[in-house]
Amino acid sequence: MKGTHLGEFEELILLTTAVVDGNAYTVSIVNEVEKNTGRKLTLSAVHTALVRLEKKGFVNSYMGGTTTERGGRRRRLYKITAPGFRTLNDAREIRSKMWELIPKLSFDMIG
Amino acid sequence: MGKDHKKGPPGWADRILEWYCADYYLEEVQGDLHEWFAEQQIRSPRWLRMRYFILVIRYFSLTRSKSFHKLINNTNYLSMKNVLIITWRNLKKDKPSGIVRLANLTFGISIFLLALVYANYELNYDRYHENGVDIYRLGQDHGGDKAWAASPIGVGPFAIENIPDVKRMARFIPVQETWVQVEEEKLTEKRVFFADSSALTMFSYEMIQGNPRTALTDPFSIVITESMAKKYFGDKDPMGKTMQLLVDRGDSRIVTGVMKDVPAQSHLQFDFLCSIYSYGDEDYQRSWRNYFVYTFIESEKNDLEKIQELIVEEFRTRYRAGDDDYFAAVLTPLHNIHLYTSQEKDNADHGSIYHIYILFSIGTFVLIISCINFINLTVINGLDRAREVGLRKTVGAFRHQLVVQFMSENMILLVFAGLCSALLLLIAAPFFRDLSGLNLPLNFISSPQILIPLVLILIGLELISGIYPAVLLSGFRPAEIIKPAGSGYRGLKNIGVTRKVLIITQFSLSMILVIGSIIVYNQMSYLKNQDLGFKKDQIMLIKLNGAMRDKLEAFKDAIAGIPGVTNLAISEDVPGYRISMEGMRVPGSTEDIMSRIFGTDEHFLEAYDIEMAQGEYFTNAAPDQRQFIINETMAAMSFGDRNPVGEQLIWRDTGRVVGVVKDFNFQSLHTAVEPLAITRYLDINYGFLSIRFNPQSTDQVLAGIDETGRKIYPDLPRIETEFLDDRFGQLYLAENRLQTIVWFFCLVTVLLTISGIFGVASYNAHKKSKEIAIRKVLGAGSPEMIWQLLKGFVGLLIISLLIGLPGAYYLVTWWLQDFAYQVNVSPFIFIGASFIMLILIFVSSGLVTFRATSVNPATILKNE
Repeated sequence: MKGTHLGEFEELILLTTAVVDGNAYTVSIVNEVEKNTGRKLTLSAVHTALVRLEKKGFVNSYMGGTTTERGGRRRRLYKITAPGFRTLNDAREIRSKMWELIPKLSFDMIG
Repeated sequence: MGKDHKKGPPGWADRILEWYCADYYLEEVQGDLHEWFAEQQIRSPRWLRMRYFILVIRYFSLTRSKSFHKLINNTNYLSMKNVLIITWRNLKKDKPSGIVRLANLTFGISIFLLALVYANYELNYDRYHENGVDIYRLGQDHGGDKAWAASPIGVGPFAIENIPDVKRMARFIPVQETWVQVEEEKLTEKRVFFADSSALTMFSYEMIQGNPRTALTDPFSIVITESMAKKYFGDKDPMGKTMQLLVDRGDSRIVTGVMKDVPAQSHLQFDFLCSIYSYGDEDYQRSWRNYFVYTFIESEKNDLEKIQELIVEEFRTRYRAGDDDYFAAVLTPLHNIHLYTSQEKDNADHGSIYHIYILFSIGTFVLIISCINFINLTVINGLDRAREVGLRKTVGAFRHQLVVQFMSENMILLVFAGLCSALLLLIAAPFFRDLSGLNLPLNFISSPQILIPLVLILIGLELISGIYPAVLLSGFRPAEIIKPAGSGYRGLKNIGVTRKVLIITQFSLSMILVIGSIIVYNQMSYLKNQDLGFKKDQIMLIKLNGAMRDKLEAFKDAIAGIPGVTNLAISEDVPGYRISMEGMRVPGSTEDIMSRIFGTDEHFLEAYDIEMAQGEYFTNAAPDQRQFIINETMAAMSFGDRNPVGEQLIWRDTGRVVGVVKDFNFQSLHTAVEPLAITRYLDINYGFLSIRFNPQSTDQVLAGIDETGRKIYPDLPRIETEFLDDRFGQLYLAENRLQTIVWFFCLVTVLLTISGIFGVASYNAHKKSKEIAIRKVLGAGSPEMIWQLLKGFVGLLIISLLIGLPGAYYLVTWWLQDFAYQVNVSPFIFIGASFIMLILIFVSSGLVTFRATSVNPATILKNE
C-alpha cells in the first residue's frame, strides 16, 4: 500500500474528480481546473495523478462512452471512492481547524 | 485554420505513442489526446502539431511503458512477489528460527565450499603446463622401500638420443643452498636449479624477457624470476647483467631471460635456472653414477613400457649387472607428483591425497548436518503454518501450487545463505591463508569461478532440502487443521521415521567428527612430544659450504668460545634432513643392504646425546682403518644375533664396526627407524655445523654466531642458523595444517549439532505442549516432565553411538596407517567423546524443555 497522504496536486485532482462527478476524465478535469482556478495543467500530469490515486484506492475507473473527436476511442472515467472522499474531507477539516487557531493579531498585521 | 481542422493530429506522433504506450492505457490516452487536439484547434491552433508531439513525449513514463507494464502484470512476477512477501512475513514472525536456519545453511555451504576449493586447488598442481599430460618424471627403483625421484645425469641424454618415443627431455639439478652476488651485494638463495635449455619450452613457464628457446643454451647463462630481477636489479633492466653464484666457484653468469614467478601450484619451485651445460664436462654429463637429477621426459605415444625397457637395458649393459639385481625405471606422470608420490630424494612441496579425502568428507558431513538442521527447522517452522495451508487449500489451491510456494520460500533462503557464505569466505580468506599457508582463491570478486560451484550447491540443496518439507507441509488436510485451535497434527504421524533417520545421521556424523578431531590432535601432539632418542630442542644448525672451508677451524674455535655453547660437531648430514642412502655389504655376502649413511667428526654422537647400546663413541685418536657406528636396526640386518662390535662392513672400502647406537628417529615419524651407519669421514662441502647450546642463553649464542660470522667471513652473506626443533616441525607442516583445519571444522560441527538439537527439542516440546500442561495441572514437577521429553532422545542417541563409534574407529585407524608411530587409540577417547556429546545434547534440549514446562498451563489449555 502506498501512503495515504495527499499532495497538493493530487488533492486538487481528487477534488475536481468529485466536482465533475460522472464525467471525470483527463480532459474534462483539465478544463474544469482551468475554469475554476485559471491553472493550466498538462494532460499527462493529470493522467499520472489519476493513475496514482487509483492505486491508492481514492478513485475507481471504468471505461465510458466516446465522441467523434476521440476517433471512436472510449474514455476512462474516474469516480471518487468513499475512502477518497473521507481523505478529502479530513484534509479540509484539518485545514479549517488550523485556520481557527490563527490568532486575531495576525489578521490585524496582515490587514 | 480550415486546413488544420481537416488534417487531425499528426500520424507520426500517434505512432510514437502507440510504440511505447501499454495497451492498457493506449485507448484512453490516445482518445484524450485527440479530444484535446480538436479542442485546441478551436482555441489556439498555433504550433499545434508541435505541441501535440511534445505532449506525446511528456506522456511517456515508466508506468505507462509497454515493457514495464508487462513485467509487473506478469503472473510469475506477481506470484514471486507474493512468495517474497510471505517469506519475509514468516521470517519476521519467528526471527530466532529464521536466523538459525540461515546460519546453518551459511556455515554448511561455506565449509563445503572451502573444502571444495581446497581439493580443487591441490588437484590442480602442475596443471598449467600445456603438455603436462605427456610429461613424466623419470626415476628409478632399486628394490628399496621407495622408488627414487632422482636419476643419474646421463639418463636424460641417453633417452632423448636413443628412444624415438621420447619427444623432449629436460633435467633439473637442485642446488641446496648457495649465495648469489650482483656487484657488491651477496645474498643466500635456496631455490636454485641447473636446467636444460629445453626446460623453458617443454614446461609452460611464462617468459617476460628473453627467448625461451635459446635463453639457457649458453653454458654461462642464467634465467631469473621477476621477483629476483626486482630484488637484485630494482628498476634496471636485468638482461645482459652478470651474476656470480657460489656453486660456480666464482664464474660469472649472464642474465639471458626473466620469467614470471613460478606459479604456487607447482611441485618444482625455483627462482634461478642456470644452464646445465656448465655442470661438468661432456663425459660427466653422460655418466650414470650419481642419483641427484630430476629428469623429465615428454612422450605423446603412451608406450611407456618400451621406454622403461630400453632404459633398464642400458643400465644393465653399463653396470654389467646380473638379472638378479632388481632395477626398474619409474615414470611418474607430472600431474601425480604433488599428491600421489612419496619418493626417495624428492624435495618437492607435497600435498596428500588422504588430506583431501579427509577434508572433503568433513566438508560433506558438515553440509549434510546443516542440511538436516535446515530440513528439521523448516518443518517445525512450517507446523505453525498448518492453518495457512488449510486455508489456501480450502480457497482452492492445488497441492502442487503449495509445493511451489514452499520450495520458492526455501530457494529464497538458500540464495540469501549463498550470498552470506560468499561474503563469509571473502572475509575469512586472509585468516584461512594464515592458518593453512595456502593462498586459496576464496575471494569471489577476484576469482569468480567460485560462484559456479556455489550455484550448483544451491541447486542441489534446493532439491534435497526443499522437496521434503514442501511435500510434507503441503500435505496437511484442511479438515483436520481448521478445527478448534491446535487440535491436530494427526497428518504428521508418518513423518516420525524420516525424522528419526535424519537425527540419527546427524548425531552419528557429529560423533565421528568429534572423535576424529580428538585423535588427530592426539596424534599430532604425540609426534611433537615423542622422544626421538636425541636432544633436538637444544641444537641449532649452520649449513656449511665450500667458501667456508678455508677458515672453518678458526670459525669453529670462535663459536666454541661463545658462552652458552656446550658442544660442537661437524657432519655431512643431520637428523631432520634427508640422509643419503647407499648400499653396504657384509664381507662374504653378495647382497647389498641399503642403509642411510653419513660422515661425522668424533664429537657428533656426544653433541646429540645419542645413547650407545654397545661399544663406544669415536675416539679422537686417528684410526688406521675406517670406523663405523651403526644403529640397532642395521646391526640386526647385517649381523643377526652376532655381536657387531669388531665386525667388518664394506662401503667404498672396508671398515670396522666400533659401536652400536640405540635406534633413534632421525627422520619424521611417518617412517620407522631405517638402518643407519655413521662413519668418520668428512666432505664438509655440503655439511652442517651442529651447535648444542644452553637454552637459557639462546639470544647470546645467536648474537655471538652473527658477530663471529661477520668477523671471520666478511665477504660472505650473513650466517644463517636454524633450530633443529623448527626443522622437525617443518616435517609435520601438512599435519599441522590439517590439525588446525579439522579443529575449526569440528567446532562448527558441534555448534551446528547443538542448534539442530534445539530445533528438534523445541519441536518435541511444541508437540507435547498440551500433555505437559495437563500433567502439570495434575501435579507433576518440572524435572519429571523434562525427563518425559528427553526419553525420546535416548533411544536415538544409543543408535547413533552404535553407528558413530565404529565409524569413527574405522576412519581413525585408516588415517593413522600413514604413520609408523601411532598414538594409542584409547577407548577412553570414545567414552569421553560420547559423554561430552550426551551432556551437550541433554543440556541444550533440557533448556528448551525447561522453558516449555515453565509455561502456565492455562495459556496452553485455554482453547480447549
